[in-house]
Amino acid sequence: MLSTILLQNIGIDTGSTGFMLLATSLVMLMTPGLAFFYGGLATKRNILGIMIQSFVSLGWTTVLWIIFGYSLCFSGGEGGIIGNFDKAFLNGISFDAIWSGNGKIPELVFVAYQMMFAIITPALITGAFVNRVTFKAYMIFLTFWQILVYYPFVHMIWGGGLLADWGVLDFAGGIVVHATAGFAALASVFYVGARTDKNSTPNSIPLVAIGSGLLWFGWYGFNAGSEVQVDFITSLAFINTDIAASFAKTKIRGIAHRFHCRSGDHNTLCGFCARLGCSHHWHRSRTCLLPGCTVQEQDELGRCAGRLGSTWCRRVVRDHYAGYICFCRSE
Amino acid sequence: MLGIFASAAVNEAGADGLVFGGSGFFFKQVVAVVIGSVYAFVFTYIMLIIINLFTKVKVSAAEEEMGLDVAIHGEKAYDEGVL
Repeated sequence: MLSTILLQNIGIDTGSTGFMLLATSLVMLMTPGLAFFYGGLATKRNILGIMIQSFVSLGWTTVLWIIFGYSLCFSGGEGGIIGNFDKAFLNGISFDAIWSGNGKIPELVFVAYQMMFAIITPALITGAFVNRVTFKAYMIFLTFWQILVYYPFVHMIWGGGLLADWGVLDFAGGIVVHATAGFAALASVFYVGARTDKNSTPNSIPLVAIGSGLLWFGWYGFNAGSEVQVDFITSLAFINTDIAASFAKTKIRGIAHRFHCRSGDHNTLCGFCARLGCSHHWHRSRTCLLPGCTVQEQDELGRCAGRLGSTWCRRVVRDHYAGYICFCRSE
Repeated sequence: MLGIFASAAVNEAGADGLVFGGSGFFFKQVVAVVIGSVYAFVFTYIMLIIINLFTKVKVSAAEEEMGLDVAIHGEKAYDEGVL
């Protein structure tokens, strides 16, 4: 019996499956990376509060994803806004089911890979309202944001829904992840208002560096893994991820120097994170052009002139609408 | 970016972006980004208003001053006696 099952499993592409398992693990690591990144930028009295908002998503989003998230995103609902409940609790997905998208990897690997995206997306928003939102309200927000915003867009673009039918493409989440999370962040900062403490500084730039390093590392899985198999596009996405981050890092270093920013180091770290996000869109491109795109996390620190403007810049740039040069001169 | 630089010559499953003459595809991408952004903004804002009817979304000024680590989670990240 076992040998029969093993033989059937040869139907998968073992190289692609192995790579996708690794890519899934890499994307998982980005959420703790994000917790460190934000945790380092927050003030000393708000480190745990912001870090737990990322970590809690690892558990809770997984529960939601298994119960109905995957099903609502990837089951039925052709040409529609949201899927159905046919695959709720992973119903009907046997352990040797092959993902119909390319017939090369087990469907369970695809379930896990997409789950990691669902985990990190709402966590991206938390940087906008650090120190201002109660944990209870955040948990409710996390739940309903997934159901009402994230799942519909995953379904509409990746799950064969409305926008996919129309011809919209999203390789690694430029629209599905970053446009939605970015504007959700903007809306939430409108709602909760500015921080009262405007003169705070990051509690730990080394912690920001750890987070940035993990995000960079994980992003190879995020971008290259989005091909969902191993081929030349995978390697193109991989190298573009690195080129984009490196150029952005160099560029923001220069801009920070030019404008005499006192905290050039963490600006550099934030800059390449922004560009890593931008790189999502380049995987299908022939060349890798680098429009001016930089960012400062100064709104987190309260040094920027204008909370809203800087949040806008930060989010918009992170959301890679390209070509922006946003900088806020430090005092 | 996909709308601008995408090339079906590189990825057959894709489409041609603006620099390769795919203006229709570029338009669709822009529309999708705008829909995604506006939708997320509106839903997030309304959601926060509704959540606030059931439980307080924003912390009080006193809690914000105290810091949420102590005010909500009852812990400190670092033992300040050591650092």
